Amino acid sequence: MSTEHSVIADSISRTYYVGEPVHALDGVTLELPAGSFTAVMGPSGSGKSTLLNMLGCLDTIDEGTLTIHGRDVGDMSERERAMFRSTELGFVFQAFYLMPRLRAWENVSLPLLFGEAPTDGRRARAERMLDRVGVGDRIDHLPNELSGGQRQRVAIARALVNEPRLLLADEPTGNLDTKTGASIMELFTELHVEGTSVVLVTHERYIAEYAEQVVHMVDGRITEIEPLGEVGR
Amino acid sequence: MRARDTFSFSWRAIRGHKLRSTLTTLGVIIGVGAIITFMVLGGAFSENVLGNFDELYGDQPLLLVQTQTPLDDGFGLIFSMTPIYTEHDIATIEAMEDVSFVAPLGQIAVTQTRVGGQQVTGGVSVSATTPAGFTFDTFLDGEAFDMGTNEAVINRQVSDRFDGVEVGDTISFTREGGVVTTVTVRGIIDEDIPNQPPTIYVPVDPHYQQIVETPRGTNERAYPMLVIGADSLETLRSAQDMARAYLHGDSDANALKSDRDTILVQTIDDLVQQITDLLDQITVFIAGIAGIALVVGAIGIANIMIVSVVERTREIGIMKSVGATRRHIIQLFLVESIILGVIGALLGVLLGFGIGALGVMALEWPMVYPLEWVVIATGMGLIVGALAGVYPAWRAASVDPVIALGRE
Ligand SMILES: Nc1ncnc2c1ncn2[C@@H]1O[C@H](COP(=O)(O)OP(=O)(O)OP(=O)(O)O)[C@@H](O)[C@H]1O
Ligand SMILES: [Mg+2]
Repeated sequence: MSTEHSVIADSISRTYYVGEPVHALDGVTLELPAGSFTAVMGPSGSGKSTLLNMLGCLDTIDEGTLTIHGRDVGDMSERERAMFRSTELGFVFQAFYLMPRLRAWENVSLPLLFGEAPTDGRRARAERMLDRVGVGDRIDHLPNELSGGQRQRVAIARALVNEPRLLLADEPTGNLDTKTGASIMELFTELHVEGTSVVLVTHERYIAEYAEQVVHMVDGRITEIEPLGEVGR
Repeated sequence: MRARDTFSFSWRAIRGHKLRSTLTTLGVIIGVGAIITFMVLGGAFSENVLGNFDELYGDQPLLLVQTQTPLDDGFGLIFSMTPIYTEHDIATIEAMEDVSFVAPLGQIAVTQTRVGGQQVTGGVSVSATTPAGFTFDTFLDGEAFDMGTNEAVINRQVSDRFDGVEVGDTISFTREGGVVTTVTVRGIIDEDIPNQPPTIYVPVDPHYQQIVETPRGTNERAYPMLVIGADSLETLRSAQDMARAYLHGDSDANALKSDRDTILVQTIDDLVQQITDLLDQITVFIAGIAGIALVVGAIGIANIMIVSVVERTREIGIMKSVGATRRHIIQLFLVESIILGVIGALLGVLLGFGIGALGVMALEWPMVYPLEWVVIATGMGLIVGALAGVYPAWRAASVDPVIALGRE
């Protein structure tokens, strides 16, 4: 086990029982080096989101072992997983998932509220993050006062506010037009260059091509890991 | 998560649905409103009836003898004005060991009263008694009248009514039937009892003429009320027991009274206690109603909180995905529910004071502010909110983030 690895998944499985069992993940083995940039592709229902939820400690594994940043995730209590999420992981979703009644900066500072770290200077930290992702001029806006691209930037700022080492994004450009999607991907690329590990689920080949490697999935299994070479600069 | 952040989060969720939140707390508002209204009215009632009666007369060795008549419907106390306590009864009680005096109190019905050039119709009462009746009174001026004279003792209220009456002034009153009596003021007493009307006290002899035929075949004056003075506070209870034994036994009064009436021999403390007991009975009744309203209120809050949890499943999922633990979520929803309960209680307090103040104004009672009940009511709101929030908060904490953040 090594901390040079961001993620080490050893034949992890997850089966849902809705009537007959659905093997959403069926023995996935995967190693992601620290600072890597990985895209996950595959047909609908192939288990991409399930894999991301596993990496994000939102869901529990049925079989196999999963190690993230050197810690065995399967051993953690619900409370430990929550703490782990707030400090080590950042999430970005297709539908942004901002809290509708909270202003941009409040949304960004949300993970700070639940963490154990001192919460002084929350607003300043949130402002810095919003600046960093290019929406420094939308600090006091409510989500419904922002465009889709701006919302996704706020969501990314929120994912980054605790300076996580692993960023997980489930179709982050799915609700955005091509141009806005491209600018969001440039942001991910920058974060990757700065050293954050990124795992990104997408249906679009041109989006996947921002990554260093593409993990192809079918029916809960990895069929191919396709290297794309160096990115960024 | 700091308390302030939790509070501000929950508060925002409530403000997001102002109307719904207010309707939700209606049960609590009504429950607490009922309690406060009653506490204001009850407090005002006892203030009005008792005032500082207890303090003024509570440490005097006095017994009041009155006849209680049952009320046909509802709560309440009514005293009969039938003259049943005869001269013979008075003499018998006066002869008892621990009794120092017995003063009768008779009512003389008058229509008009005149002092100098001023005449008033009604509003002034005339009572007949004996000089012993003033044993425990404070004279502002002058002294008690003598028996068999046209002298009178007035209370301060009479003087106030006629813009100043002094010792030596004459007062005329017209009885029902037209006979005019003129008396000279001999003394003025301070009767600081709430609702005590302006009263002129005259000697029973020669002014009081209620004569009844006694069971022993004689004709004697009889009175609706007696005041018994005991030798001291130590002997008050034994005087009370003896007087009561006689009055409930072979007294004229016991034979003359109507079957449904009861002869009461009470100390001042007993009298105060009787009114307090009556209030306590009503309190239990109101508490029952308020309790039901609070239970309904709790169910209302719980119901809306469950709806709210379902509506905010997505938000709960988001919070969990950024690191909220079960405890954080429970805190947020519990605090929200408690805020609803407390808001309901505070609105109920306002409503209660409002209705109470209107009632007190209409009845011309003094306003009272039962502040300890504001604290109790707020506490009840808090408890109702907390109890109502337990299950919804648990439901919220159990939301699975994967499902909450799943398909649209
Ligand atoms: N909570 C759940 N309960 C039951 N079945 C589930 C649940 N989540 C996912 N599944 C099933 O697991 C399988 C994989 O789902 P998953 O969401 O991972 O697919 P996906 O690759 O992300 O698809 P898409 O591209 O449409 O988002 C599907 O068959 C799905 O129906
Ligand atoms: Mg998916």
